[in-house]
Amino acid sequence: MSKILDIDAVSIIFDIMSSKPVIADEPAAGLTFKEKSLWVTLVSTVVLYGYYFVRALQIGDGDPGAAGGLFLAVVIVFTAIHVVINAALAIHRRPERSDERDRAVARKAAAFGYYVMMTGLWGTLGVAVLRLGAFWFVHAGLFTIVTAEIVRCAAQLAYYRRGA
Amino acid sequence: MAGVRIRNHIRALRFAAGEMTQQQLADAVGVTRQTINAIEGGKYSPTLEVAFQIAEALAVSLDRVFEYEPAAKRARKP
Repeated sequence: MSKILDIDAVSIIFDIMSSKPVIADEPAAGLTFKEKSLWVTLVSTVVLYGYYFVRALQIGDGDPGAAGGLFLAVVIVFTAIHVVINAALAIHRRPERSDERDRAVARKAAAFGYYVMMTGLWGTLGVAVLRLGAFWFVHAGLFTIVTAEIVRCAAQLAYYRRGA
Repeated sequence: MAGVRIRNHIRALRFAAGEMTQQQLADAVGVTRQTINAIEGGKYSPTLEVAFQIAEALAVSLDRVFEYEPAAKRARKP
């Protein structure tokens, strides 16, 4: 007898027990390494750069050195958090290899980030036209990059959960 | 999901193929278990290449794995 049952026969089994499928659904996959890593990026970006922008606004354009030093500190902490947590996650569970779904999710999410980036770029150009100064021009550009990254990460996580 | 037009019988066919697990199918096709899970759940439509590989791994033809449901047919359903 062939090991492979006819699909119609299998359908009949399902029809007879339509309220209770023969095969239980395998549990939905938990958070993968990529999703965990994306959460780390999302949360650390929101918290660290959010803190930076609030502090930079308080500092204002009177002391560019202080804002620059704070920015450097934020970048170092952000990088350190990423390296340490991603290494810990990789040790805890080996990262899965990327496949076509990962690439499709990344591609679709990047499109969202692109729209935010383009909108922010126009806003940044507006700041330049209005001659508000280097401080506001640089921070408008930085805010655009950070917001685009947050949107990209959030969209990627949403696509992983809700479907791409 | 309202947007899904392609149904699949992967779950039933895995059962028919000696109760193959999602992981076993994923390994045979070369994708992750999460991707097989998403395809089964109608959350992701695979490329033609992966669709054919799934059919090959389940030892059936492609049209036995995937079924296209036209929009008009879906609209008639209660």
